Amino acid sequence: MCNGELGQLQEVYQQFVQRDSEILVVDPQEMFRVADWQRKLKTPFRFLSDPTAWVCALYGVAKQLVVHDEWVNLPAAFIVDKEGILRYAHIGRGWPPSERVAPEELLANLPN
Amino acid sequence: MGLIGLIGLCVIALMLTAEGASTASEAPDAEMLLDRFRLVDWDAKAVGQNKDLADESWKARIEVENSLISIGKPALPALIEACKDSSGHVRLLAAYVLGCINDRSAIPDLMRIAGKDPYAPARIAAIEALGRLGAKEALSVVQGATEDKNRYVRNAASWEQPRVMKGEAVGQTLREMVVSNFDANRVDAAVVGKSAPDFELMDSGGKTVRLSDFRGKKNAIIVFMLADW
Repeated sequence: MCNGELGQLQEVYQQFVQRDSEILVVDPQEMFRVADWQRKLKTPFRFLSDPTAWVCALYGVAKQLVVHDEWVNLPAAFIVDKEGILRYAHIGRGWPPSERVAPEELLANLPN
Repeated sequence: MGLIGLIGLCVIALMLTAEGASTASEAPDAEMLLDRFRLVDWDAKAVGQNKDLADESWKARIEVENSLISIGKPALPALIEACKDSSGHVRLLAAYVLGCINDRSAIPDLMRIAGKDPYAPARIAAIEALGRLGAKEALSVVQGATEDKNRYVRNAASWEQPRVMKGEAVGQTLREMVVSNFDANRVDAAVVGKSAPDFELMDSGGKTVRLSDFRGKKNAIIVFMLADW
């Protein structure tokens, strides 16, 4: 997921807020890059720094693609409900935008 | 081989076969880990799309790099040797791990990779490692890399140049993160219908975020980023 997709999410962010949902973006970079990126995008979401990719590995998406000459995550989104149960997972197979989940699909899969 | 060598082999064999030899497998040595990494055909895995989601060889990289980082300084001789490996994938791995282990003895080899390695991903990893080590002596190499023929190498170099100039090492923080959090038994542990694996990370505002903080309050949508461009 990169700039375009986060922009899309931002537009529908209020809908997520209304559905009691928080968006957490896991960025496998060190804090100084993560903070800079969030500032540039001016997004309301929480950006989390995972520079050793241990959370990316925990969720099964770490370092499986080579994009821009670096090993990067599969683009992915997971929905966890208020009981802490994983309810939905979308894991993309590569960089093309078609591999990423649309915000509308995330909204449609939110638990009631 | 000699008597000492034979005795040594017997000891290792006993360790590997004995019940408590989880000791041997819990602390494999650096060379064994690198060999495990070498078994995978990384050229074939290095795709940008149409990744076979059933292919689990990525786990070998995760387990090897985190095990090497956890071993820390005792792994240095093997890692520095690996900086000269014939495989760019091994050199990349070594550079990444060295950046997470806070030891300046790696700097000359990292400088060589950053400036001269034919494999761009290895140059990038070495440049990041030099930034993480706060390697002031690498400044001219990193500055030179801002004019690398490869734009991704140039990008990495421009990120790291200020850190290299400042000369402050962050590498030990990264090792602490691995030692505190990485669990080889909890890789790829997310299963729909089960409890989502809990985790704790810092957000860009410096606040700690734990997934379980949202329990009883909000749904959490975890989005994994591919790249910050």
